Amino acid sequence: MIWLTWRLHRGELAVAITVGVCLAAFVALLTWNIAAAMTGVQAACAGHSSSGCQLTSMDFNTTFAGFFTPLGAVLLVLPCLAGLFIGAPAIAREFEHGTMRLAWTQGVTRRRWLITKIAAIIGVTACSAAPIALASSLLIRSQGGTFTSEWSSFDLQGPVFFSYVVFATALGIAAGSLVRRVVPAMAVTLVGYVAARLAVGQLARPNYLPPLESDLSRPGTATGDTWILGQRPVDLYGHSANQQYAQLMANVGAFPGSIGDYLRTHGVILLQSYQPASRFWPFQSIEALLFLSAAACLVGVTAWSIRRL
Amino acid sequence: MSTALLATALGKRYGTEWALRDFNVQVPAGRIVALVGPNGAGKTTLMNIAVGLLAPTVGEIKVFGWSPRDQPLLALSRVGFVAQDRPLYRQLSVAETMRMGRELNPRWDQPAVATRLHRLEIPFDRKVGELSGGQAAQVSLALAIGKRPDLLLLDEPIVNLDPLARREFLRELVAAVASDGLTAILSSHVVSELERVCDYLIVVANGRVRVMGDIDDLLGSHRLLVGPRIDPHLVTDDDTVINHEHSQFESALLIKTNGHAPPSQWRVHNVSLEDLVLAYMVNSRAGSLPKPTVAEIST
Repeated sequence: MIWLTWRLHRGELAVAITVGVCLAAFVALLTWNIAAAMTGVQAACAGHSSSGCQLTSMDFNTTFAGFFTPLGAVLLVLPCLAGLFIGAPAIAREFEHGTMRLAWTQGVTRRRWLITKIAAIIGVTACSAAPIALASSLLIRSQGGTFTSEWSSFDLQGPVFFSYVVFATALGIAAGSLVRRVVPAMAVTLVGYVAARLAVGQLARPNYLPPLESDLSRPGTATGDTWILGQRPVDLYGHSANQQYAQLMANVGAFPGSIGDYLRTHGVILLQSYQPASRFWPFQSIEALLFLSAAACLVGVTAWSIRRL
Repeated sequence: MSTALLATALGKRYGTEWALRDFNVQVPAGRIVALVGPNGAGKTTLMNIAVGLLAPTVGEIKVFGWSPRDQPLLALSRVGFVAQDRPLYRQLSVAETMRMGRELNPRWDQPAVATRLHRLEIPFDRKVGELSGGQAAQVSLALAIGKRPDLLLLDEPIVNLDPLARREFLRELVAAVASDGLTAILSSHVVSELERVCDYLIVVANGRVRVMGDIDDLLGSHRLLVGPRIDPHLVTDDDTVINHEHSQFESALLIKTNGHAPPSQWRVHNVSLEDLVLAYMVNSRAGSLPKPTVAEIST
């Protein structure tokens, strides 16, 4: 059964492994180069020769800046591609070609057929995703916030990226077992994946832990790589002061100091809600667990839909 | 004589439509059975239930005493199945298809399968999708026989094959049945293709069994009576008259003999298997519908 599963899916699984190895190697190489260049910049800027420091810094920026946007785009769509091209056809194609009538009437149970298939497909895609997730985390750490911050690359690295790949693949398999045709299953997978990612990213993620608030007129409370969620004006008693704030902003003229100080002198405090840098890894763990649990549920749905036939 | 397949009060409903209803069948072991009926009669549903691909709505089915849903390994290891349209993995080579059979079936008979396909000059390294229809059908059959089943279920196995490929397919089938002593059930909507190989007949229509039995016994117990035209309404609607047709001057009755000689105005003919099957198919409709054919002919 293992041989047959591998033989039937070896094309897409080989692509997954190749992409996993090559992309991880490329990212690791980039990380290594960035780290080396960073030491060069630090060396040049340590000796107070500011023109040399500027030159090496500019050189550093121009050399590496171009990598991050395309790499980010690739990492953003990769999990979805796994769901579309590995997950969705896995069972749907058997239904479409009628070959499950062949597979299910040999001397193995349907249960074993399904377990082998799901384990092989999710196992291989997960193993391909892991090195990418790790390499991407190291890359984002290596560039010290020059090109992208931790929070803005939240979904391109670490456990979260890994869980997206597993979730998308499980979603594809479940859609295939329910819809039973390849192209519609791919459509369901695409819509489901994008919807789940948007819903979690926009609604759930900011609130895994209650956001902290800092007074904008008192800088230094929210330092480091924070994730700014929004701001709201309050009066000195902490009540919402949207109206006063709007009036003040409409009549804003020349004022000394910062806008925070200007508002404070008129009795309005601007509070900024944010998630601190220290919550990055806890949030990664929470979101990864969320998507891995959803993947487990989808495997259950697949098992149910196959059993019920 | 032991029973290969036993269905009792079997029913399968899709939505509000019954594909099989109150279906009772007992297939004796060692026979080659023709399961015949019009399209949509329930033949495929019966086969799919027998191999556990479908669960019956009511009733039960047993394959050598095992339930295909509750004891799948015990039942499936004794059944070789060729599903409708003879599905195979088209991207696999013939050799890989044999390997699949070996890996998935504990009783797989590799030498016999290899010898069989070799004798039929089927190239082992060719992808199944690139074989001719006849060759692919032989691979399907070899895969079903290779698991050393006691019962072969073939759902419309020779549809879409050219006459030569049909003959070769049936020859292989009969040889395998004869040498291994197994039971085979072949479904078809045309009985003439199966007449030469089958010795047992089950006619299905509208999800029910119309008639079943040994083919020689059935042919021996039915006669076609031809005589001067009688009023169709005078034909008694009992079990002895299976079907009646009337032209302008003559009436033809297909009857089940009851030992009495028919009145002398009737000429008695032996029936062909095709006549018999058609009569039982028409008879099944007569029960529920008006009889347009009879009415048209009589006017």
